[in-house]
Parts: sequence; C-alpha cells; structure tokens
Amino acid sequence: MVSIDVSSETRVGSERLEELYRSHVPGAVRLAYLLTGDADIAQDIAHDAFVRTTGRLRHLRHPDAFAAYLRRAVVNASTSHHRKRSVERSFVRREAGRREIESESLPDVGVRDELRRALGALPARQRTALVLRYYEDLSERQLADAMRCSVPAARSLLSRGLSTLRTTLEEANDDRSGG
Amino acid sequence: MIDLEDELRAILTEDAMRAPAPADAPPDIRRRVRRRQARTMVGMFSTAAGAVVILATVLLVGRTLQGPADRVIPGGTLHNTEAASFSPGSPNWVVTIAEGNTSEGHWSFGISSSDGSTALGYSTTSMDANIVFGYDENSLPDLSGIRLLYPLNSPAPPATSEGWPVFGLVSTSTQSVELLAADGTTTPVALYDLPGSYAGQAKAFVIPGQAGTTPAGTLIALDGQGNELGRAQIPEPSA
Repeated sequence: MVSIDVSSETRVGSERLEELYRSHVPGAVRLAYLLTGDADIAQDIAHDAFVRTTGRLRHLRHPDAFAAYLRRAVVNASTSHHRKRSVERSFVRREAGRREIESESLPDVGVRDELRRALGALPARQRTALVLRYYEDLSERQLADAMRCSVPAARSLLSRGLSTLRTTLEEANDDRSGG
Repeated sequence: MIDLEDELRAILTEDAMRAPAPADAPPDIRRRVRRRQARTMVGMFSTAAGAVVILATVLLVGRTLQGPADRVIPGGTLHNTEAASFSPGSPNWVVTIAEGNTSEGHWSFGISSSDGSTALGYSTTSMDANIVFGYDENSLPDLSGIRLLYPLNSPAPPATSEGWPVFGLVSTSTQSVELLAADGTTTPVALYDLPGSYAGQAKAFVIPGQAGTTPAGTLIALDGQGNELGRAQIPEPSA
C-alpha cells in the first residue's frame, strides 16, 4: 500500500521557503533601504517582492535566477513606491537632515556628507542605477535587466548620475574653499 | 573618477548596514506565499482550460466552414431503416412533401414517423416494393453538398431501372438541382423544403419514376449565384 506523507511534503516546502527567505530577503531589504531610505518601507517592499517572486513559482522553474527575479521585483516596487506616494522629496529632506547628524563621526565628513545629500537628491532612476552598480556590483547588462531598460539606457543613467554627483561635489568643494 | 566611485561604494555599503536584517520569515509572509502560489496554480489551470476550449472552438468552426462536400454535419448518421406504418400505395405519411401522377400511377413523397424513428419515403401504387430511407435520429441530417438516398437494405446506390425514382437530400443553401445528361443537356429537378419539425437542415429533390425512362446522368446542387455546391452520379442502369 502506498501512502503519502503530506506533513513531510509540507515540511519540505516550508523549509525550502525558509531557506530562500534567509538567503535572499536580508539582501533585498538592504537594497530596498538604499533605494527608499526608509527601513519600514524597505522591509515591506522586500517582503512583497519575495511573496510575488515565490508566489509565481519562478524559484521552481529557474532556481538559479531567483536572486535576479527578486532584485528586479524590489527595484520595480521601489520605483512604484516613489512614483505613487511622491515621497522622494520628503525622503531627500529627511535624509539630508538626518545624515548631517549621522555623518559627524565619519572621518571625511565633508565629502561623504555632500555625496550622501547629492545621492539622495538624484532622480529615482539614476539613484537606482548607481545603487545597483556600486552596491550590488551589477554589470551594465544585469543592471539593464533589473531596471527593464536597454543597456545604452542603463549606461546613460549611470553616466548622468555620476556626472551630477561630481558636479555637486565640485560645487560644494568650491563653496568650502571660497568660504 | 575612481575616488568618487570608491566613495560611493563605501557610503552605500555603510548605509546598507543600517537596514534591518530579518532572520526568519514571519508567519504572515509564509501564508501570503502559499495563497499566491495557490492563485498561480488556479490561474495556470484556468489558462490551460481556456486554451483547450478555444482550440476546440477553432477546430469546430474550421470544420463547419470547410468547403462543400457530401459530408454529414454531426447530428446523426443517415442509413436505411424500416419505417413503421408503411404500406405500398397507401403510405401513412405524417407529412406529404410532394405527390403527383405518372404513367405508373399515383406517387407520393413524404415522411413517416413512428416510435421515434423518422424516415423519408417514396411510394407508388404500381410498385410492389417500397423504398424507405431513414435516419437514426428524430430528424433528417444536416448536410452540405448533395446525397442520394438508397432503397431499403441497400448499402450502396442500386443500379437504376425503368420506373424507379431518384431522390435525395441537399443542403439548405441549395437553390436548385439540375440533372446533367451525358449529352451535356440539363434538366431542372423538383426541389422541396423539408418540414423543420421532422427534418434537419436539408431540402429534398425527387425525380419520379416513369415507365419507359431510366434516370441517368449527374445531379448537381447549385446555390443562388449558380455556384456548384456538390454533385452525385446516378448509378448506371442495371443490365
């Protein structure tokens, strides 16, 4: 007589889910945090993205690509968050104020502070491109895939983001020298 | 440029460390995942079922729109069968489709029905054998093209002989039936609507039998524009 241990099947599924969660969600939260600047929102976005990605059973079809699917879902959700709630400007103001205090202990206070402020002031897509490139270490092709755009478009976002940061830093440096 | 990129990496790494680090999946996340997976499965099955239905519909429509041929559209199979309450010369038609007189005497063409069996028949007072053609459903067949009906118990069209009639069914899109003789001449053949309560989507044609004549040639069904819908060769006369 053949019997099926349903509880065992369920346990295997739950363990697999836990394993996926522990492996990928902390990184997804960090990415969402860098993109939104809000810990609670970052956690919500990461969880939503995790539910969406695992719910579509993609991890069963392409287990190796799960991280990429999750990253794309986080980027999409962060973009939607900025678009829908128009929180970008308030984020910039809040971050600018908070980081002035936090950065007091940093060794190179002036540069990092200006860089943080400039990064926070960038348009969302440019900031996303920079975070994916310099935090996630994605190639231009991976970056384009995560942001659902062409490689030249991804390259352009990076270039414009860096250019804006550089200009901002130079202006801040000039102000400090002048002042 | 290198300095800026290095600074950017350092800042992002530093900021990321301030993000909360969840250890285990909260129960509500597990529930949401299960619900979403269930919805995905239902969606996949629904999509598959929908695709099967669409495919079946396309196949069915495709078959319906197929060109004219002597093909019986699903609804039953034409075959020979006994018709109840039938006696030569005085058939008990529930509907008489046509009747008239020839040198053979009075003839009639009609539908007999009994015990759920419907049959199309031809009767003449001078013939000692009836010709009954039935259908195994309670209606005559839907068809396209043209179909000759055969005498009782004949699996195939019998050879024609003097005094025997020729009759059969054509599709409702048929507006006329012509008999094309071997010498190229054409003769119109009488065409009748069948009563909807007994018949399916078909019309009937008949060439009454006459002494001294043996029907021969090809019957051609034509639509209102004169386009040919189908043709059938009358079997060769018996020796």
